[in-house]
Amino acid sequence: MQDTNLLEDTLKKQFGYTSFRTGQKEIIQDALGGEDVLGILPTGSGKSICYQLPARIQEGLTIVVSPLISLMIDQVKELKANNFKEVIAINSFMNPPERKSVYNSLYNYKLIYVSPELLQQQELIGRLKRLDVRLFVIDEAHCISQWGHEFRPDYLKLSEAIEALNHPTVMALSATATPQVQEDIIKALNRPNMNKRIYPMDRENITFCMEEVADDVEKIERMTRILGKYRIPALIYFTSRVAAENTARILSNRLEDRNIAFYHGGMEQIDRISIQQQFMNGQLDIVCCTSAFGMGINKSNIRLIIHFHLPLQLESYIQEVGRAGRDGKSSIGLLLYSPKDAFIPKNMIKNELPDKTDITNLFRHLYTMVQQGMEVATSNEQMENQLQINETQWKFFRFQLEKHGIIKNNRIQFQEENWRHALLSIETLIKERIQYKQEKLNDVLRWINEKECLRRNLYKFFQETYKNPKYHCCSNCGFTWDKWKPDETPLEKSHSESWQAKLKKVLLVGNVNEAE
Amino acid sequence: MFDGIILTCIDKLQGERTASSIYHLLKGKKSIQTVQDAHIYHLEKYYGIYNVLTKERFNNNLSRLVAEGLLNTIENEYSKFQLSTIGVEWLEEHKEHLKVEYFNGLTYNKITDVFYLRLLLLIQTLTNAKMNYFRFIPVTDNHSAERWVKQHYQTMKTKKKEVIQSLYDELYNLLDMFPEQDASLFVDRLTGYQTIGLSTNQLSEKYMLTDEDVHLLLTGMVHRIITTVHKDKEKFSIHAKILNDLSETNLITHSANKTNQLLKKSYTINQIAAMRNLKTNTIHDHIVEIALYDSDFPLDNYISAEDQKEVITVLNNENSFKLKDIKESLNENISYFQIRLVLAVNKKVLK
Repeated sequence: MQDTNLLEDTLKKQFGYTSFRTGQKEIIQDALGGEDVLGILPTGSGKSICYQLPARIQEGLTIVVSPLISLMIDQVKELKANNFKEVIAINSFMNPPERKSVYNSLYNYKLIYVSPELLQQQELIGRLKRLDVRLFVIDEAHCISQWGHEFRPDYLKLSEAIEALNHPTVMALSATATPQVQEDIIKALNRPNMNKRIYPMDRENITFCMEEVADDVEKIERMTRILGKYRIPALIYFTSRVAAENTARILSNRLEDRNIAFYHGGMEQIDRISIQQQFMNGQLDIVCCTSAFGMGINKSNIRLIIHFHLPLQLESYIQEVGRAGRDGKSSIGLLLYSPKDAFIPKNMIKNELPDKTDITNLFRHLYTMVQQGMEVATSNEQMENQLQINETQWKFFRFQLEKHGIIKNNRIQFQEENWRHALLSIETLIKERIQYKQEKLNDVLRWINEKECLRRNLYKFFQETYKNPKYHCCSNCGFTWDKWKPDETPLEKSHSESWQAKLKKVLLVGNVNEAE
Repeated sequence: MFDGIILTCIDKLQGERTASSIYHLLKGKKSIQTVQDAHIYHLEKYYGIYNVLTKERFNNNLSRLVAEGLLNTIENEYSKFQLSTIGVEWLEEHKEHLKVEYFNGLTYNKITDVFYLRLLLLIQTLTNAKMNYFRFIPVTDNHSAERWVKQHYQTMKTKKKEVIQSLYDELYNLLDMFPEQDASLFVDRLTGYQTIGLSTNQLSEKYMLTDEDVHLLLTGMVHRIITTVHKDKEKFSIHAKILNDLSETNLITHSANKTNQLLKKSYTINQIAAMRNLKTNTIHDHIVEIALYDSDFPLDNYISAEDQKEVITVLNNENSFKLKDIKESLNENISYFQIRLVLAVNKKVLK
């Protein structure tokens, strides 16, 4: 009992929550008891508490592998803001002297976030080995599975890292993992006896709404009408940066008393932080964004998530729509589609992986390198430039080449028979991947054209039942917009002031309401 | 602004360099060629003023200027441009509004970002601390800025109110140098307690500028602020503190500096190349870089006084800085490396 109180006290004192959400406590207790655990918790249910809390109260070090640098950095910032200072994110953005100084002081930390790529480094592993690693966490664990919606080859090598670190307790977490993916995770980590803590991912306060329109123009008209009617925090997801920018501009012109901006991964860091924080702070009502936005965003009152483009997989849709209504209040996921939409994702799927010409080019290039006695460039960027392929494509190649023993410690091993074999096997693999992604897209298309309950048919791939909706179920079960009365944010008139007045305000000069 | 700067650069390059040399100049490429060009063509102001510029963005602007008839391509010359008559008129007409006098790129490009980020983070930290709110997300991850603010906040925290007041007074005076609109844009970018500054794109929409111009305007303003602070460190004591350890003297690259140390120990170029596992050409680049900044550079060690004279004569007669043209008019014993050294040392004498 005392243990339980300790957990609750820590939760309250360090994280500011009064009670655990579904699953958190069970997973934490497993980890503290030294049992490996696979936790599947819905988006927005506070997955990160599951390892942040043990890291804070347990002796020794917790390592968290996370695929997204921005996500790591956001979490570190948030933890530091919450006065948990012994945390760091080690990533490839750090410059060498900075990284070196961090490597030399690893013992100062209790929680270390690291990218899967860096965990391949002998230097880092060697240093971590000397520390007392108690808990090894794999965040977004579905990345380990070929059948997950964001396969990351580097994740497959994690079991080696776990072994090298002398088998700490393993915690694998994901928000979206089908039973097939769950099996894959357990297999790839080589931990058959993991506790499985699987919680339903359905969100009872989200209403699903599907609307067919003729084209993009009509999509914008629909959004103008809805967003003009309600003043609510909303996110609009796009698959292209340009579309996000343009739509933000159009909507701003049409909805003059709404604050609208765009956000995507191509923006400068300072601008990205600015938009995120404005949205958190209520200075912005609507953000037009790509999937880069939202990970690690802790805003509880997002009322509406619109998808302007088709998601490529139901898994990513569930994650994105799950950012709505974390406060439990009535929220809506609206997907707008036009008959033409199915073509865009098809191209995106093709571009994600290298094509046949890329493969031939790659092997030819490697052969030239062998003849000139060259090694594989250590910088990925250099290889990407030489081969004219994107980062994901090169990473895919590199993993395959290492798997087939063609690249060993950056040296290229030439053996004709093996190369022939590898070439064929890579070609087949790509074909399979594209086919698999196509099937996932077909699931999305089938769901969109669903005549029956959207809720049931969205979740059926992941779990057998779902909770009764708290407010409205979906547009196929009788939801109409006139039934929706969400909490609205008050209108704040922005008036133009002189720069002198604004400067005074931002610096709190002459401000009487200060805390001192 | 961006258009004006591109046109000015093309104008000054007199068709002797390709457009990508302008791109490198604005990005602040550390190559010796770029730095030397900045000196030769008197484009020092613009060096490194747009470090986040992408090639794509640059090329788009260039093509637009061609499409609008302000630029012509030079015949038979790949990717070289010159101003059209309309271009010349445009530049003349807009001269007053280009704000080129704000910039001091070559001197400040390395410290601009750090200075600006420190200022932004300091304002955010002090105002939030004043309201006893410590859970804010910093506007920047820049380590140098974080470290500096963390360090100085310790000494400021007991007198937050006074520091904020002086910061306000200083900023008021500094921003008062600028036109209303520029000052207003600068203030809109600031983040304080529960007020988050606007992004580049939000600023460009609000002030009806391009994203490029917002970036350049802010950079130019920061340069001007730094210049002003340097002139009166007492009046702008907090800003001076932010600038304090950001030296402008450290102009040569780390690697060139290493080469310089070895040269001073009398190692030969070949020895240094072997020791450092670098190509001889790279060591040559280092030496040209050193020559650019070292007023006591021993030019005579590398080229005889006689040959130096010959190069300078050709330079003055040719009235061109194209290395190839110069080389062709010279005694063939004189290498490109030697010509570049003469150019570097004599950059101020020429023109």
